[in-house]
This record gives sequence, structure tokens and C-alpha cells, in this order.
Amino acid sequence: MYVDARSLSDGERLEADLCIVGAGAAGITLAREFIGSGLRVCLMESGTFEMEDEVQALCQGAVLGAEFFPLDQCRLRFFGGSTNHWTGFCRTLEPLDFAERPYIPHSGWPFGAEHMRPFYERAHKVCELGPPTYAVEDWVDGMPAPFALESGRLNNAIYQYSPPTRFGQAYRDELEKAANVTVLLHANAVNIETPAEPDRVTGIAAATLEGKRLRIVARDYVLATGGIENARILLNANRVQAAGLGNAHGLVGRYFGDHPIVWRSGLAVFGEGYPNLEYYCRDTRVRGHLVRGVFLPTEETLNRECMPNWAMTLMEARLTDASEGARSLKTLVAQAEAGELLDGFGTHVLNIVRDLDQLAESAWHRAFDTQIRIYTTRYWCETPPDPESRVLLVEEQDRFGLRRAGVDWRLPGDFYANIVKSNRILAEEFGRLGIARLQVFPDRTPENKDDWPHIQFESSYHHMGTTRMHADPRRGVVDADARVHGISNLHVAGSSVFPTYGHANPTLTITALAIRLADHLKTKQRDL
Amino acid sequence: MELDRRDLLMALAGGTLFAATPLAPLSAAPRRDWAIVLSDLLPSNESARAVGRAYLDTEPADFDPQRLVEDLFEGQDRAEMQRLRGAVASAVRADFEAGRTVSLHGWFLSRTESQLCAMVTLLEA
Repeated sequence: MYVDARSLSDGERLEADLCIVGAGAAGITLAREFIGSGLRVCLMESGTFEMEDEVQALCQGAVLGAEFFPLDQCRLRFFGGSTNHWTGFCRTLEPLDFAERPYIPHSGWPFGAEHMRPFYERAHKVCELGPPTYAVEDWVDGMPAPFALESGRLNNAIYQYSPPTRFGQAYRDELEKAANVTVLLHANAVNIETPAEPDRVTGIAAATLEGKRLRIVARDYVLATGGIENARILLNANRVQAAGLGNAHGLVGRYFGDHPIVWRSGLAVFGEGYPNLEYYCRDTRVRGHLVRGVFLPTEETLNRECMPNWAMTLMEARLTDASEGARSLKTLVAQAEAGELLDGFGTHVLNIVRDLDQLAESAWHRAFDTQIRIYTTRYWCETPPDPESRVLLVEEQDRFGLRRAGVDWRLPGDFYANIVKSNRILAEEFGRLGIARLQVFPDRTPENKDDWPHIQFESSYHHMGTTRMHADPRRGVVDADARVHGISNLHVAGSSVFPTYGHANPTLTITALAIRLADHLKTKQRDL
Repeated sequence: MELDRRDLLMALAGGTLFAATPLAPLSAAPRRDWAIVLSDLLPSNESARAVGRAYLDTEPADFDPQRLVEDLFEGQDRAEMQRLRGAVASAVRADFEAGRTVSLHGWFLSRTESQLCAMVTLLEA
């Protein structure tokens, strides 16, 4: 059932067994898990079924650190949340992502990949994915052949694509028909109420933009508003404890992570002898499911090199990718006529290696034919958990008088060195196979080689880590059940609980964790 | 056991050839003979010079043609160019396998191919 909070009386009090704040991937998944359970669920949503400018403006905030998208553009505040603009790229976290890695401080989850397996299987259905397997051998018979990677340094792997499932659209009717679920639209959480000794939550104070005040009282509460907003709501809930709720150890908002993505981390030139690169640069439909091949480092590589996890794939280069000096079409045409698509040194390199290493008839001669063989390497990675990378409150307030969020995203000091290292590993694999040579950071020149900011990277709208999970309250905001330490009935859902991030896009893991949390809450409520 | 570059060159370019026809090794050849070998291996001297200069900037310790020849061609016979070419290709791949690479202007190249280019530069110096 859907209820518009604006239609309720000012000061109205609603009761439920479970109150979920936020109707994105996590909140909707949680609510669906309770359909038919006999428990009353109130799912609060700030917006409605379409984006509204006034509501979306509540996401505004400050960018304080590394390059980052404006905060009202990198997330969506209406029913379905950020699944309204996700690409659907999915993969489970790797076993290593759950492990404590001695070379990555603060790493490790309270449980491992095997524990997550049944929840991932159920999440696959929610995200409308194919079978819950990422083993290449389960997919490769329907795909273009990948390279024979045998050095033990890299693996071929796949990502699956969700259609992508727009949770707000896909599950709208189901939630409308659910007798025990009330979706409260246009309801903004403005405070989490607790007693003077904040060992439990006694209610959620909510408001509409039109000024109506509501109160939702439940036995259990779940914050599911995203990796930035979960922290912001806890930090703003500071009437009882000045530092904010659940923030006794100053961890709320810290360890903020995203997946930096570098679209042109390298330039690879292939000989024409290799028949097919499509495994790495084309989406392929296998038995009705869309998948994409990628390169992943092996666990041995990551452990030996002491690197955070990463992934790479190939993209057909546009002419401008291969033409560093090109500034205009006129220049491009001139270069094409001269057969020069690489810079001078790149041309020399290929003149040499095509004879030494059977890169015969190198593609740069033929770049304007149909068989373009110049590719860029697209790289993305996890950033190590860093307490200095954080979401915090800035002075500016929103329409409810709540301080807005500031994002101070910090990249690790070895971020660029690890991109070089990753491309070197790939280059050595290509060289070993005798199929290509690779140049890292093709945009570097002798003039700017020590100046990194020209390397273009983007964040990925994957906001993680700000209410991290750890059994020890001095090292995590929530425990292994996603319950806020010290508060008996407040839980957190979403990627803000990730203690370590992996390279995989987070929505599948968010969904799996929401299912896991639903199981836990059902058991908890039955035991009450 | 992993073959190193020199072992591989010996195994592939040496072997039966050297057993049947004992000729003077390349490392003992005069400079002009090296130049002939390199011109067969590296048809573009201009490109080789460019890569070689970049390599020597990175690895100044290799600024010694005798050392490079010994490193690359010790025990090799210049009579079997085709076999040598194959041996070099194999050595290049073995370099990549073993991580013996250098980064020149961001390009990851094998040490063998970079040293060959460096020799061109040094021979013409």
C-alpha cells in the first residue's frame, strides 16, 4: 500500500513492527522479504515515483577532497533510489575481498564468501541476473574466446548485467498489493529519537517538504538511505549525543570509499594475428543473459604485489585516444593520411616489435580500416579503507535544518603507482603471448610526466564504508548483524556497512546483505 | 626450472646448429658484424635508435656495447640468422614471462628488445 505523507494529518503517529528508512535497492529488498510475514512494515521514501527537483535538492552537499561528482547528481532520491540510474554491472565480491589482508590496514569482513553464497543466490533473482556463477567455464562456451592466460598472474573473468532492474518500477506493484507493507512517500527522516541513554530507538521523526510532522514508531528500525545519507542521518541525530548516534568512537562517516575508474589507463596495440578481442570489449548474450569479459588479478598476484583489488577490460580506441597530439579534425586527417596514429615514440616501438615479436603488419598502419586494433585499457579498483576518507557534516543546512554532507574522498598514495603496476602485469601477459605491446598512461608526456592530475578518473557512484561492519565497536559502527553497536533495535543496510570494498559494483552485495538482514530481523522479531 | 634469457637463446639458436658447425661466437665478432646482425633483426634503424636512446637513458649501466653483445649473443653463431630471429622472439617472450621489462615513455618492453635497440645506438655512436 502506498500512502503519501502529505495526505496525513500534521503530528500523526504511525506504528509498525519494522520501519525502513529509504526505498532503494536495500530498502525495497528488505520490505519485499517481509511480504506475507504477518509483520507490519513501514517503508519511508523521501520522494515519489518520479524525480522531483525539490526532493533531489535535499542531496546537495560539498565536495571537499578528490574529484567527485556533485552530491545531488551521484545518487537519486526517489522510489527505487540509485537503481533508477545504475548500469546493472554485477559480480559477487571475491573471497579475498572478505579476508583480512595484512597489507591493507582495516581490511576484512566479519564473515567470508561462503557465508554470503546463499544470500547472493537469492539476490541474483532480485537483480534479475543469470545463474549465480562467475566461473568463466560456465559462460565461455557462448562467448568469444578469451586469451589463454597461463602465467598465473591474471585470470579471465566475467561480470553479469542486470537488465538493469529498476527496483522502484520492478517491485512497485508487488509492494502496492502487500497488505502488511505501507510505503510512505514524501516522508523525510529528520531525527532518530532515543532515550537519554541511547541504547534503543524510540521513533523516527519525519517531515514533508510542506511542513507536516510525523512520527513512526516501530520495534526495529533500519537505515537504508545510501552510503552518504546513512552517515549524515546518524551524525545529525545529535540531540542526545553531540557526536551523533552510534558515533561513540568517532567512526560514523569515516572509511568512505568509491571505485575510481580510469577510462584510458593504457593503450594496447595488437598484431593482426590475434583473431578476436571481443571477449574483453563487447557485451555478449549467453543463454539469454548479458555478460562481459574482464581481466582480474589472481589472489597470488594481489598478495605478492600487496595491491588492492582491481579489474581491467579493453575498449576500442577512438581516434583521439590513439592520437595524443590531435586537437582537431584537420590534425586527425593529416595524421591518418600520414599513417600516424600514435605519437612518434609509439610508432618507433611498433616498428621494432612487429619484427621482433611477430606483431607483423601492426595495426597502426591500418587504423582507418575496419580492423582497428588499438585499444585502451579501462581500469577500476577498490580503495583501501582509510579513516581520513570521510563523509562529514558541513555548516550549510537543508530545508529541515539538517546540516548537509561533505565528502572528503581520499585516494591512497600509491593509487597511480598501482595503476602502472596493473598495466605492467597486463603488458607482460600480452608480451608473453606475443600479441601486443602496451603503454601505460598514454596521455603522459615528458612535460607532464610528474604531474598526475591530468590523469582522468571518475568516481562510480558507489558510496561505501561510512558505517562499516566490525565485531569490535572501536573498529566498526555496526556489528556482524548490521546492528549499530550499543543500540538494540537500529540496523543499517546498504554499502555503507562494507568494511572492504573489492572491485565489484556494490548493488548485488547490497541486495544480498539486505536479504541476510531480513532473515536476521525476522528471527529477532519472532524471538521478542 | 625457468630458463633465463641467455639459456633460451642458447637452447633455441644453439643446439644442433652449433654442434654441427662450430663457428666463431658473435661476442667475438667485430663491430661491423654486429651491425649486420642487428640490421637483419631491426630493419628500422631510426626506430631502433629512438628506442635505444630511451633505454640507455633508463639503464645507463648498459652503455657498453661489449657488455650488451655478451649479454645478448654470448655463444651465438651469426650464420643462422633465421634461427637467431626465432631465438630472440622467444627470449622476448621469456622476458615478459619473467617480468624482465623496462618502461620507456610508458611502453612496457622486454629487456632483450630494448638492449638490441641500445646496441644500434651505441654502434653508431
